[in-house]
Amino acid sequence: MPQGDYIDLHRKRNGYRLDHFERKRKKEAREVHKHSTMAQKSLGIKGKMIAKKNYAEKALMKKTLKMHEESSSRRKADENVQEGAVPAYLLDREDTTRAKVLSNTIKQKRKEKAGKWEVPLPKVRPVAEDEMFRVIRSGKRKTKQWKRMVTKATFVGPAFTRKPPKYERFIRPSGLRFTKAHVTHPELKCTFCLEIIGIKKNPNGPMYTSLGVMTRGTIIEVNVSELGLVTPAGKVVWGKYAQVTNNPENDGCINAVLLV
Amino acid sequence: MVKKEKKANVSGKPKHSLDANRADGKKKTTETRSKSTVNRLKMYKTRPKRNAGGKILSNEYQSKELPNSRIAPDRRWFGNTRVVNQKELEYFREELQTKMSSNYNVILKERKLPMSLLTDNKKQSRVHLLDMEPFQDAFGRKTKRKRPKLVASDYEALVKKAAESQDAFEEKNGAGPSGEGGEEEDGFRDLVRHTMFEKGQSKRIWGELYKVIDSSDVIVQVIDARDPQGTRCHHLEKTLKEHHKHKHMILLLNKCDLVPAWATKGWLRVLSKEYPTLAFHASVNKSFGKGSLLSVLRQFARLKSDKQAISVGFVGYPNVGKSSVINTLRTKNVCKVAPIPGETKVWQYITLTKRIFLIDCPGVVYQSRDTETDIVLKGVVRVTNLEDASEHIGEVLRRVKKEHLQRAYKIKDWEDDHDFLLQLCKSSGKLLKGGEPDLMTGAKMILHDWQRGRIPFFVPPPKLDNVASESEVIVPGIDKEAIADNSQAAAALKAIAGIMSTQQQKDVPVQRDFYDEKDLKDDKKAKESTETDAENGTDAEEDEDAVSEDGVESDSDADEDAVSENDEEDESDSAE
Repeated sequence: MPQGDYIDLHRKRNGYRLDHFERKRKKEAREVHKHSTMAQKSLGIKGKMIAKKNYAEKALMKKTLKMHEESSSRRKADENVQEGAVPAYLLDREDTTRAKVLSNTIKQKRKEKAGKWEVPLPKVRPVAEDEMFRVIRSGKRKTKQWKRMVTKATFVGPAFTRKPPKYERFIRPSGLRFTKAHVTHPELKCTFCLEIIGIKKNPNGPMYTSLGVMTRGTIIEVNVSELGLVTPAGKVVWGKYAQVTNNPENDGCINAVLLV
Repeated sequence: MVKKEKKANVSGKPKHSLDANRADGKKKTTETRSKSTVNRLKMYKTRPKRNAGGKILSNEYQSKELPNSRIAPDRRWFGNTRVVNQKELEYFREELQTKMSSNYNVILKERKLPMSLLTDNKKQSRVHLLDMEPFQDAFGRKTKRKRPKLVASDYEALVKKAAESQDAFEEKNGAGPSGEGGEEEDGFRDLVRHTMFEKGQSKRIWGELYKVIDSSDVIVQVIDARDPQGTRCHHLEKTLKEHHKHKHMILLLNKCDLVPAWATKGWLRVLSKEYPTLAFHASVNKSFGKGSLLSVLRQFARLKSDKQAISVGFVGYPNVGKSSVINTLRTKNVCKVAPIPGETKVWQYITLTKRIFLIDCPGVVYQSRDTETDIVLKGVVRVTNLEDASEHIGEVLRRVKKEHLQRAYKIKDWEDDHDFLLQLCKSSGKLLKGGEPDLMTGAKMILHDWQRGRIPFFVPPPKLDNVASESEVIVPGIDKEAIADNSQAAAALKAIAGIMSTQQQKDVPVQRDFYDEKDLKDDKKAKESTETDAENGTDAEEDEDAVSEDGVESDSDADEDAVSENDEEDESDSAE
């Protein structure tokens, strides 16, 4: 037999020590402090393991407490029902509260809401700076390397004029400038060639937005006066957002989806 | 560990070329460099960092780090960004029709206006389907069965129609059957044009032109006063009107000292109806129109006051004096100039003031139906490279008056261009072995004189029908409403129009040696001939003028010889 069994047998035959229960109670009371001292003084990997175990225990305890709290919302109604208020065929059914139903409704609405305002391409391939810009050497001996040429499609406004050469750092080639985009209406399933008004947001960063660079996923503002949209108040709509869906620098044109 | 920043230099003496205490520019003033200037000068020294083996470790704006490319969901992506009211739309449409009709009004911020809603799109053509096929003929009880409409009913009719189309096409393109037959019989074709006659049309030159257009807010097209319509770039003007509406164009009538004053004023009147036009004489010491041009450029800088500086591009034909105009504005030689075409090869950036930059452009030529002689006489081609210069002299003799050639080369009479060349070679000593005249050298001499303006000639402006309108100073585009407007843009445009009208009233200086007083007064005779509207009378008057001029010249030969000798001495001194 194991040793513990001999101890139990001996206690059954002869009884416990007279101060056994007092010593046990005191030891359990001091266990909390011992545990805390060990958690604080342990170093290295031992400390990490102790912390992880303590965290798991604490999280489990919190979940248990929360579970009990939730279950209390579905307890039986103890109200006294007067005679004749409930029909006879419903007397067997027990009443419960509606807290859970409301909780489910709110969660569902939040989930729907998150998906509704998402753009068609929420995440695109990132473009690094070495792919976006190319170094241009200038000067008499081609040693100055502070100019950068943008290698992607760009949009410049109608009143655009290049800066003087000694102030211009970012050069946007005129061959890669676009003024129109092929915008598809997602519900009508038809495509229009609309003018671009501006660049709202480039997913790769605000610097590219200010430079007017159009890559895949860029939010652009297009002139939708050709579509004939009107607000409920009777005003004419002539500006709307669209998102670029192709790679303009490879295809030579801009395809976009209108955000409606 | 945060790296300690170096202490600012408080002693005031600059320690290195990028120090903020160093004076800005060449002036020795107490002003130091601004922070933006110091940052810009540091930017010029940007270099990639390399390791011991020469491999690039890092470079500015060349990082390989991938950015976070997620777009957060937002309900504002799906709303309307620009909305316009019906009343505002009507107001914009009325104002636009009023303003756009004049040449001197511009829209400063076109981006904030719904331009496509204001202008009607006329490109879409209507299909008149109901006119050809009424509804009741296609549907209903009175339906008529329609035979399909064919071009021809049978094969012979189709052949006949094809032959007629071919004949119409040939007539339209100027290749008649007799011409074709002639060409086929002779077995000849047009000689392939030499590549030198395509000066100013290469891809490199046009690349420079588009660079200048891209960098300019105002484009000054320099044209030759002797042939204004021949040295205009209509393709460039069309491009600016269609694709660069926000850029302004000015016409600059250069070399106005080589033509009579009435011709200059006439051309100013004609060209001002299209674009603002100024007369100019490009000379560092004795210039004309410099003040007017500077005032106009300052007004454009004031018009673009939201920008820090404006750039003015000078474009035009080769050898019209673009670089000379810039040297005149700067009052010193900042651009290389020469009396031959093609001296400027790349675009050059010149600072005029803090807010005005000038851009010089090489001469550009758009492809047209000019003959080789036209190209040579416009000054596009270098005379020294011509293979056969004598074939262009006939046109020179036709365009220049006889007395001018007589005065320039002291040749009394000649039968044709060949005889003229013979006499010129003999008198100037351009002879080959055995006393044979060197026609090539003589012809090149004449073309050189033509290009450099020693032989006076000009294309007269078209005559106006209404004589009374000549007295009025025509400055189009001035609206009384615009004058009443207090905005800054209207004030600037009003000042530009004022400068135009002021210059039109000025006296244009002309070289007195070129023309007689009767040539300078030719405008009055033109008016008289216009009033009479008699061709025979005009011919008779011309004959009488020739006779009288001959008489005057015969009387004062000695004086003219002395004057011409003095001119030659002056020219030789200036050449030295």
